[in-house]
Amino acid sequence: MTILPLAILGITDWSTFLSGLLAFFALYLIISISLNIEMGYAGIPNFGKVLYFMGGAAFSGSVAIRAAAWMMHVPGNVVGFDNFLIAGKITAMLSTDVPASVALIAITLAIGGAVGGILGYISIFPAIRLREDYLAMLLLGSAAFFQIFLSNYTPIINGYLGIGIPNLFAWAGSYSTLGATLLIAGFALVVYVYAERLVRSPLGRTLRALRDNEAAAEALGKDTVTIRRNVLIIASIITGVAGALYTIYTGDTNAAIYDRVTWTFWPWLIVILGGVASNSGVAIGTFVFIFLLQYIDATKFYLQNVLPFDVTWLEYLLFGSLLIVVLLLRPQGILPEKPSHTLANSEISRILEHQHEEKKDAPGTAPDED
Amino acid sequence: MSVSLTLTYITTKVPNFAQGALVTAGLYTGFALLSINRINPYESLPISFLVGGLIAIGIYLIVLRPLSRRGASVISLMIATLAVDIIFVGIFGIYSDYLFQAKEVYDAKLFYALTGSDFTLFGINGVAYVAPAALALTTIVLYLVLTRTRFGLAMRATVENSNLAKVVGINTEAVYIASWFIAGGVAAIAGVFYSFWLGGEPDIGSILLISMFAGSILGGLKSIYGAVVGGLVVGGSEILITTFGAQYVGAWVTAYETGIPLLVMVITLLVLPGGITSLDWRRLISRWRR
Repeated sequence: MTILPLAILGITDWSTFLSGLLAFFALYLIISISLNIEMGYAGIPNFGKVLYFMGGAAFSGSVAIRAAAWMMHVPGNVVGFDNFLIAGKITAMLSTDVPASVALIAITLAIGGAVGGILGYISIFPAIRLREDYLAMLLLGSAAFFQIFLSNYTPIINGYLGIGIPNLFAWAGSYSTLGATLLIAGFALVVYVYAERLVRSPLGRTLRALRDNEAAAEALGKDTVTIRRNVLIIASIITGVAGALYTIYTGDTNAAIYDRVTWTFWPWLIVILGGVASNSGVAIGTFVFIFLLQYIDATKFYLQNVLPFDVTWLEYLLFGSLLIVVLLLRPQGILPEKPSHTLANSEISRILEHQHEEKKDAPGTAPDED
Repeated sequence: MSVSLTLTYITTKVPNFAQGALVTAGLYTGFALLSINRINPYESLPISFLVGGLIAIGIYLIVLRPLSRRGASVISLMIATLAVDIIFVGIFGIYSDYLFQAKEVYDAKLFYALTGSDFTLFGINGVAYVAPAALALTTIVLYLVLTRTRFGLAMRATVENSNLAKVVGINTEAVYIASWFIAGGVAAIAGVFYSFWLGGEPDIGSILLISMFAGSILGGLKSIYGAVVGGLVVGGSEILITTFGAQYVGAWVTAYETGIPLLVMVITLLVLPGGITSLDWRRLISRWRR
């Protein structure tokens, strides 16, 4: 790719573009890493990823505005007709009240995680019994039904009309979007580090053993059911928190945005593109995908005037084909799974150095030079 | 629809998440021919069948066969069919936008039941007669083909043990392609019938997919006749429960119609994972008589 002046690349507002890029990169990194833990390491084909995200996002948004209204003593039907009025009023009040805002952020994230965890716990019952193809069908179906439930049962997020939630970063003034972005990025970092540590832990090795040869793992006395259960719950909690983060970031939520393409298929594409069971690969895959997606979103209005149809459909064609091409030509992804080192490199070299010094101290042995 | 899903499942051993796309293909072929060329969808049924069948062959030859030759896992194959489905959602989206803007078909994005081009008999829409008749015909023809012809024998042998079938000289590739063609055609025709009954939109396939899976799983995923029964039970219970529910519980029940096939799926998987065809009816009856 040649280096062109930035304006010629078709993007006029680079600061908005980059901050959106960071937010969505971090958000999708969280979801994809959790999918990678489930699919890459534990071998659970979660085709209902949107379910946990949707649960976390919708319930946390619903609870956030209720809790805010309760704390700020704002009366009225918070998820009904005057929702946006109430949300605006609370935002104005929160803009001077930092402790309340922080408390609300904590509540929102906790609810997101809890709902994700509960949904994960429910999906265990089929997940430990069924073969992978049956499980995929069931999870896909459950996610579709849950979306229909949310769009018809209005008390939660008022269906397709949606609700607005107060801006919990209103105290940051014009930096409120940046605040939310940094919160997502911070959590993404935590999740990434956690996943890396998990992979290198005894549990990570057990997971790979379980994925590669379940019978052998069982014969070695590993409780496969409990392990799978824990992994699914952890990944679901992470996804639920991601949903809550997204609700905080966008400031509103409605039942129409939780489609299986955006929140199930894109994460799958990212994991397969980056490399199944490879966290660094997934991070690169996330970046490549999100960059493409955001770039198309930012520049598609050029094409929109020329084409007689909605450009969004081209995204579907492009990324759908991309997945098939990756599966056909490079099924291992950009950065394939590597044999993982149980100890970090620095740790190993530290131990070696230590031994070296011991040898040096011991009388009669020359330090070996190689 | 469940019949066609089961057909593709038994040949490739992978649940085809793009099956909804085949249904939508048939649905839009019928719709486009009606709105542009004014051809009654009943008359264009063969064209819909052909379109669905050819798309199905395309999916098999371009995506699934190369992948399974590379030794891709079941998960990879499943996600590949999901990718195909998403490509088709894009294609149908583009096509319906095109119909809307270039051909000035203003209901292309969401059209209602095509009762206007249906005939009526004894005050009931024709599709209520034609669809079950077509199902019966499909089932009988499939039964006859599978049990009475050389091709049917080859097909059953391929499904049972494809390596052994190859050894005795059966062209298993031809068998696979033929069964995908039939599956695609049947799905497309089901789509046309669906448009008579309930209308359509570009993303209709993803909603129908749950019902198809439920029907196939209830039928045991491995038997075409099981899928016929499963599809009838799922479709019937959807309509019965929502009608009675709307009457006795409240109109809000109809909104959750999609929950019923899901419920059927959950119950089947938890109680009878092999589907109804795995039941030993004779033993069951004798136990009940005692």
